[in-house]
Amino acid sequence: MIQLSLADINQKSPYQVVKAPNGDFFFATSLDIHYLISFEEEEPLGQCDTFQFVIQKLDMQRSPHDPKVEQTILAIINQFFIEHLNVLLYMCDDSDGREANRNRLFLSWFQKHAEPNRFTIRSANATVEGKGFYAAIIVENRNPLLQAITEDFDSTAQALTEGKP
Amino acid sequence: MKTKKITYEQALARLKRSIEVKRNAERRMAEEWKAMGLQGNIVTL
Repeated sequence: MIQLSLADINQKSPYQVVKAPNGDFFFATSLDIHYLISFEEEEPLGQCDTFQFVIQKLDMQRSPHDPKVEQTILAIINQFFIEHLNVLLYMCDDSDGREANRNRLFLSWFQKHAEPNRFTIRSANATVEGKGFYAAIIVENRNPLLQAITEDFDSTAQALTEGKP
Repeated sequence: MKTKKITYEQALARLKRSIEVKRNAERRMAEEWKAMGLQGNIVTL
């Protein structure tokens, strides 16, 4: 389970972030919409430790846009990169047909808020066995394994895109 | 460092493992909502 400083997160986060009972990160918005954030250990990319980033929200109805949500999530991700020189992997599937929108939304948050030249982002999509998958990785440019990581991700994406020989 | 070429089968196996990681996380988080006494519509973003 990944450890991050809640004190440092909460210095930058508009919503108060706390640890859920099993160690995930939890916050509630002013509209009483709840979020859980998890970092799941993954297979290494380019021999660098990799974590899959999973976001869940709990609400009773469709929620209006709240910019504080993305600021809070980005404060958590920022702390991940401050404390861990690892790869962050984000995946969407097509379970409800919204995967492309989610992928674009997540990447647009990054492009809007990330410090220029701090990160390398790679994204890919593939259709496998009739289902669509989108994935993105975020790597800090100071990561000494950056080239190996992006080559590993690109090779995997290329192999999936080209399909079964 | 030269990257080893990845075959389709290797790439597919890697993707399936990542999907399994995500599914396991979703199941565990669903239990976590219950443990916190929260109910509603759960959406993975």
